[in-house]
Amino acid sequence: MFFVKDLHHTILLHPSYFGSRMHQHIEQKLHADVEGTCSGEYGYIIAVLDVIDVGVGLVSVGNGQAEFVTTYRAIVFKPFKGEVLDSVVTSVNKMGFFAEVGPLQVFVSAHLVHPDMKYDSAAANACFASADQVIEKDTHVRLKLVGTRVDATEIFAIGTIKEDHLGVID
Amino acid sequence: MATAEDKSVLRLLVQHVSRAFYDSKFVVVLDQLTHQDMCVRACGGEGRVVLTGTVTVVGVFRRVKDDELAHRVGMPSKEVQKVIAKLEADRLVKVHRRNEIQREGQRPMNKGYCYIDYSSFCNVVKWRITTMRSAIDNKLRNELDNQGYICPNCGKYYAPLDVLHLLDPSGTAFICEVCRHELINNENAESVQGSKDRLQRLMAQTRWIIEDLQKTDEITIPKLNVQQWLAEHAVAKLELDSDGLAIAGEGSTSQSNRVQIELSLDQDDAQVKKAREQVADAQRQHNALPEWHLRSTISGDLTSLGAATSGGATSGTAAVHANGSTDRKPEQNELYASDLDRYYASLNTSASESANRTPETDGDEEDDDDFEEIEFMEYPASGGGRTPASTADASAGLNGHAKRGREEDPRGVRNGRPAKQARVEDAAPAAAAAAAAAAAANAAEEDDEDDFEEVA
Amino acid sequence: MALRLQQNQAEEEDASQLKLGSEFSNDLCLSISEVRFLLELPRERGAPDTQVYNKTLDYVRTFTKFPTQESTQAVRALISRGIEDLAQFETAQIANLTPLTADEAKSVIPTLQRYDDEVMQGILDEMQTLRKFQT
Repeated sequence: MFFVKDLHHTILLHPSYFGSRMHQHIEQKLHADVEGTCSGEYGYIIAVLDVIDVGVGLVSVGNGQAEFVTTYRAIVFKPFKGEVLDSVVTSVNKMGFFAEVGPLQVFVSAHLVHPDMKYDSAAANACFASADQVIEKDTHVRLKLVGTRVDATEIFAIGTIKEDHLGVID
Repeated sequence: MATAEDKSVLRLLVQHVSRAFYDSKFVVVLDQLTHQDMCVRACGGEGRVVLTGTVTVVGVFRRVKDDELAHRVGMPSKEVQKVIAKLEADRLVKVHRRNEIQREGQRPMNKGYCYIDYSSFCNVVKWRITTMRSAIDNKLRNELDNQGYICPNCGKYYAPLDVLHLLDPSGTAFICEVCRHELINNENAESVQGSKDRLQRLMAQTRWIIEDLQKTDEITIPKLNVQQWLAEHAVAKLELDSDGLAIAGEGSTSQSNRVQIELSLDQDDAQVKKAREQVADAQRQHNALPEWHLRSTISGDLTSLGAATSGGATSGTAAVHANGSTDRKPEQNELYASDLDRYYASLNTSASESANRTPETDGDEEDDDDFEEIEFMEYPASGGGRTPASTADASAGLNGHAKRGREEDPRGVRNGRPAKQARVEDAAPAAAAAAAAAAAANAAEEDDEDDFEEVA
Repeated sequence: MALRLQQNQAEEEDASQLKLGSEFSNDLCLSISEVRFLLELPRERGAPDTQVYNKTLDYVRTFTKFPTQESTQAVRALISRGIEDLAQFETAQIANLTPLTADEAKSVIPTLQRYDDEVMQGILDEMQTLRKFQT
């Protein structure tokens, strides 16, 4: 799910940047620091929409760097267990298939694919196929997340399509 | 109202459920309840008919009382109560408890009436099946989630959430981090093996119940009013048991219901009494002395017999005696029928012509006379064969007197009745009422004998 | 210890029960169409060139159901007007998944089960009409 969220970020600014363009510099650094990152708490920070407040710089004793606690508004994407999402299949193998929901990687195990759909290794593209449906690379699939795992740089999820109203979508 | 087919579906459902999930003890008890309750349902449509309470209806119309249930399933009452308690806790069986007074003066006893409320039974079973299914489904999913992958080479286990980094560059398989061997599904775990077909087995084993439930969805199960049923049951019981069944702590509705029925019963009693009265009246009229016994047909005055009948208590006994003697006549009539036959036979042998004419002469007379004639004809036989000599002697004088009267009025022969009455009247001053009755009879009989002799 | 805490938190979160954790319970949820609209807004500094940003942009462009700003706003108004007390999350999910039937909606968004089928269906039908006639 995408959210609009107000977040805080602490920026340490080298004294060389102190000056008239300091605020611009802080904002640039904020964008560079947070966009595209991921945390367990907030999920992926997709884009900063607005810098609300850069705060008051506090010069730390010893090295002369200024510490700004900034407040900004961002679009975040956080997957939840139990959430139903549309995804694009990226790869298929006999163990299941991988799909992407934006930045999120989801693996759907072959156990959690409907039993009618069999893995077909003979086809040109590896796929799961039933009489009327095929799941191969770039297929759009509606899936439900059954578990998520947050790493330092990314979130990984496992999903299922073995329920009503899940599976291949047009 | 559920049809017979619906009932068998419901019954089947109970049987399937009990056999699938309960011990034989429970099965037996539940079977009894279905059996009983089907009967209850069977007469449920009649509703009010049950109120009139014929015994046959009572026989089938019964919420099973738990002590009776114990008797039926042949288990100790305590054990049955345990079974029922369990079934009640499982919401399969409902128990309606109330205080009942078994006999006057005894403390009210708490009685439980067990029954199956089919609509709630179906709902309970439905819910159970669904819960079971979702529980197994969830478990299965979790196990599959955690099933993960294993390296057949080094035995290292990977959870499904670990697989992202294990994908080999070609994207076709997962590679063990340690030994670069291809991973396989971790299907060896016992829990996985067991759970794999658990859902399938559940579905296969509960298939019957699910089918039954689907069938019951199409049935509108009639609502059950326990109070009402029990009220009716109590009434029915009242009729069965001489000591009755009083109910303590019952609602006013059932009480009024009961009273109502008692009223209808009273009415029945009254009707019966009335009918009996009518029969008795008819009998009394039948037994009453003919008018000509009580009242002179000539003068219109009361005869001594009539005076005695309508008179005081003192003559009552005599009147009763007289009644008794008249009562006895039909019996004697039968008794002497054979004698009569013999008499006719003798008549026939003497002269067939005269025998043929005899009925004709009698036919001129009234039917009443015919009847009396028969009575009279007995007497020669009884007088000759059975009557003690003393009685014969006692009546001899009277007979003589009657004969004289007869001679005095020869034309009176044609009509026997007036003549007889007259003679009775003549005799009355001298004899008692009872004697007079006997005299009248004897006299008349003498007359008829004379008649026949005349004919002959 | 920190890991334990994080795991516990993860355990508690379950979208099927509308448990989004303390961080997200009160925040504005965006539908895919809205995200697309926001991401495509002209920026003074240019779009961030990160893999996350690009993948997200691809994703929202692929799955946008209401490509125009008007229809994006209309669908949000429609959903929140039609059903009372709808959570942010549910609103966005309805707009994202655009289920055809109340049954489907309740299946993919289980928390909607507290609503009446007919009310649900009315909204969904209106949403389909909106989709059909958007330019």
